[in-house]
Amino acid sequence: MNGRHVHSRRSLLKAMGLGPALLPLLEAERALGACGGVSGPRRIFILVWANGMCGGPTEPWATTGANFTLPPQMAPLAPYTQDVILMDGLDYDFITDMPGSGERTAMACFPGMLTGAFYQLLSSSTSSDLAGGISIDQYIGNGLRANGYLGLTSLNLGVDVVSTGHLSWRAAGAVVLPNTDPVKAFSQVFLGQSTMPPVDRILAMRKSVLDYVVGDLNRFVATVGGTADKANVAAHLQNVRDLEQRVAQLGVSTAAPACVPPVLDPTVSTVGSTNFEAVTKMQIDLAVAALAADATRVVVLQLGDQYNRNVILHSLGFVSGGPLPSDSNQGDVNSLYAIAREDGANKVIVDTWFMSQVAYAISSLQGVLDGAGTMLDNTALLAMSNMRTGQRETTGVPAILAGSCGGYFKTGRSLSLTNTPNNGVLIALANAMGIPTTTFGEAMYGGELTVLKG
Amino acid sequence: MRTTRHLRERQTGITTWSLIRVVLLAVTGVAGGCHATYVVGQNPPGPDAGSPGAAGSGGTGGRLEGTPDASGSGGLPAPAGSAGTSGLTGGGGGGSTGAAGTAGTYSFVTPPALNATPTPESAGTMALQRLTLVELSNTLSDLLGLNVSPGAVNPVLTSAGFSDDDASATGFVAPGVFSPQQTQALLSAAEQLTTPLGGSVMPTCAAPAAGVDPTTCATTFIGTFGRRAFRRPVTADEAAALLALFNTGVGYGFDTPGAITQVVRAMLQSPNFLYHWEVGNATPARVGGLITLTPYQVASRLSYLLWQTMPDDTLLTAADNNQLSTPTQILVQAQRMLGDARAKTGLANFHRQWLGINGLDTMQKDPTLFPTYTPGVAFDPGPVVSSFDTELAAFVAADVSTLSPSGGDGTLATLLTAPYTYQWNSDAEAIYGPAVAAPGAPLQLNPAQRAGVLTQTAFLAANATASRTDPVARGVAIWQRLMCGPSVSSHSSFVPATVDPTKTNRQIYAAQDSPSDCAQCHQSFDPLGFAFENYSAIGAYQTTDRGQPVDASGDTVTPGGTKISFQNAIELVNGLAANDEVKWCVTRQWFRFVLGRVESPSDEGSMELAYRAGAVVPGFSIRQMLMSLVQTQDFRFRAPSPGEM
Repeated sequence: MNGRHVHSRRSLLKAMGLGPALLPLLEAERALGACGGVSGPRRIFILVWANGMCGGPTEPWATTGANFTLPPQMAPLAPYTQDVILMDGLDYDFITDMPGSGERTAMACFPGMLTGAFYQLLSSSTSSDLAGGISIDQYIGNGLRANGYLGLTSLNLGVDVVSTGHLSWRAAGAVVLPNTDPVKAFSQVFLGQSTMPPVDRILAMRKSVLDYVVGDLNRFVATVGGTADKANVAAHLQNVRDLEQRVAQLGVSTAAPACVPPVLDPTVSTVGSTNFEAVTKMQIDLAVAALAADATRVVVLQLGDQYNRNVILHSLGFVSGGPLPSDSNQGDVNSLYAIAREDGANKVIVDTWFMSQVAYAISSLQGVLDGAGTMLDNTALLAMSNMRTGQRETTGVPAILAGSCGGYFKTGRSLSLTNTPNNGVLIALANAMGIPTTTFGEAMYGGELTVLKG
Repeated sequence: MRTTRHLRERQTGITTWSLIRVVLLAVTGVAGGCHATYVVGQNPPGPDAGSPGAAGSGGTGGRLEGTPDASGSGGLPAPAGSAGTSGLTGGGGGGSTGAAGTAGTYSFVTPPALNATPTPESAGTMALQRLTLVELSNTLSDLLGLNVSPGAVNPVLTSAGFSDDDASATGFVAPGVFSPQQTQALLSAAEQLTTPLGGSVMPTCAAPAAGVDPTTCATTFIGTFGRRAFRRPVTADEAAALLALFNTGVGYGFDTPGAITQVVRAMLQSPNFLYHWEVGNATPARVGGLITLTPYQVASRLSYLLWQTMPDDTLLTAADNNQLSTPTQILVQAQRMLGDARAKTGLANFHRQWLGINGLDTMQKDPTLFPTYTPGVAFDPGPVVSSFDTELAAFVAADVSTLSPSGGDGTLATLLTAPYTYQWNSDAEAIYGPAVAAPGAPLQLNPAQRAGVLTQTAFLAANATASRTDPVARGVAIWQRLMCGPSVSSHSSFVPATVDPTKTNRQIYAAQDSPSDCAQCHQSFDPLGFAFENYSAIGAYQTTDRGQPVDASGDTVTPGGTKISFQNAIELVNGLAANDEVKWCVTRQWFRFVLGRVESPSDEGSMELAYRAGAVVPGFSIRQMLMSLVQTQDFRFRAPSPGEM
């Protein structure tokens, strides 16, 4: 291992300069740290936000190679350079080549980013475009279920999603809507299963089972006469006692969640972007808890929608500035949308914030023990945006992959790609998850981006 | 733990032998050869009944070999176990080390003489052992039913961290003690294997009828399932604790099937399931100094010996009705079991372990050299690889079991020399040459080329590399497991850095093993392996090796000093089949398998009995030996373990 240790949320908050206001959610951190112990399955966690990851006059991408330099907006990822593959140069060919796409730009990419397919319907409004095929999260989730996995096909979450241009599709034209309310999503994930009692009782039951085994061993040792035999039974008994102590920290069997889910504050309103940052954190917490509990193995979280016309990040000091002078339909002048269009110094600030969310997700995955390592080792976290910079390029778009997905991907590199449709990354995810495919979306865009494997 | 066990055996051995020797001296004087004549059951040796032995002057026959001199170096060394047992030194005094060599050396090398007075029966110790990985897979598959095959169970166990000891003193797989990792692995495996049971899959208590108290259903379930899981009736204390666990589950909000699942999980982690020790509340009777095995212990011993899995209902019921206490009663069950399909699995498993046939499912062969061996098939059990194993299982079952009345006669001679096999797909033809057999009938082979299991694909291919034969592996297997030659400390395979293309495999090995410190071991078993140079790394017959004719001739000297000369493998296996030491070795190996330890003098009487039963049949009947084995005292009793009252 490369010397990483479990980051506490407290330490991360401290590092970010955020303080005790978020203390109630620290319960979540302690609970997350209690998961794990038995090697878990592979998972994917797709994190998407609009308006690009670079831009402005001073925002390059990372350099290439194994000893890459992070650009300024990616400073939050500095502790995780060995855990990531930075990709520069994906092409959203589906939007460029799509017949009739006309003026479709990066603002219309969401329905193709996870499907890699030409749209079924190009609507008069980009918000109403319909994807032309199944998205990779549904594809993988279906495959897992077909292989006997009993959890949810996927967990689709969002923060302040207004536009109806969506990422996830069950099939062409059949959208999967994200759940933008973490409290409601939590109850669906953890309490929705009618045959499963609340999670803490499962832990208690496991302990009771082991109590019985201890009782049997105590009765058993009396029936065994030899000195060496008695010693062996005594050792077995001690092992079971020790196991009982650890049982709260053990990972799950594949069907029963054993991790205590996070405490989510129901008083935090999810309407509008007032609490955008706080809701983002809750959704990430929920996603990680759901993965750790093996309630699902596929999560898609979109932070905002493909416009973010009215998303204002107050924690960064932005306040509503009124409508854009040039076009009042295009939202607030200090919205993420406007900041992207402006592509100036503020773009660096917001890009850094989004990167810090990626860092938080990575850190949270690392905080869950999984077998001999952490859950990050068994996860592929894919962070994507619908454009490269505020100039809305749909080719040469960067993306970030974190976690090796059980050793499938070779992390710790920065790649410069050319002529690489995003389909190749989607196929790589499917293959990493054991739901293999040779093409995905439009077959003409070829196969797996195998350079990710190293 | 193994070391401890064998030291214990050694202690017992010393004591037993001291006692016998004292009587021997009293009765026979110096030149003896006959054994003590005390009545079976009287004064059997206790574990610490050491009596100071007078300076030995043991006889020249029977168990005591050679004339002891002052330094006690007379006689042949007893077989060395890998855990450091160096045989059993008859010592003056029952001390923990014994006086070295004051009375010669106890040895199992010489087969019993059929006309000599039998050694009185006794029984050795029985250490607590958990089920091996194979036994666990088979047992869980049978116990949980529901189409969970052993093949599906095994990966759950191994991925959770279960394993057996690789090298055991007996040469058969041995379970280890329960490590912390294995304890956790067991929890994980128990949950994974019972996860599909949480719903309506469990046959009982899935949907209790309206108005029926679920507790009633649970109580019944605990009794019926528990009897199978623990391989004996559940005691009142256990039943009460399991019912309490069920009620705890209900209290936590589990529905009835869910709570039943928790009960099953608890049973799967219980020592009553995991260990071969089906005692429960019983206080086994003592006969002389020996402890009677409970009827359930006998049932388990029978089923794991012949089937490598848990007893079936007929066996458990026989135990319920105390129908497993006399030798005749046990024989009835054993005969039934030897004719059951599960005997095929059990016998195949024994023979795989016995003959060192490992890794057939991952075996790789050079596709250039062996184009008939389908590449890629080696990586999953495919038609060729699994067909080697299938052939072995079918051949062994046809001989030893009573499954096919038209099959073999149960003898060692058939096992080692029969010129036929059971195999008739195109892959087999590629190895054996064209032949046709009617379905169910054996495939007749060329008797000049094939004779018995050692000339069949499984043994030959498993003891070979991807491209070359491995005469050392083949030779060691025969030397140790068929001739009970002293075990050798193995070193890793010596692959010569450069292979001289003008030399045959035999020439290369002979040259590399010729230095004296290599030869002192290799001279015993290399010739045995060279006899099989007519069979390639895949078991196909060849008359040349690198352009030169194969030389398969040689000779071997048994541990007892008999020379067997041979021109080829056919002659060798015929010589082995006719040799009494080999027949006695086969007996010893089966006793090791069932006892889970190397043989000790306390086992002698029972072993002789079983041997005689086999030896009176021309060709040595393994079948009759087994049917006698299960009736012996050694099978039905045990000596108290050290420290046991």
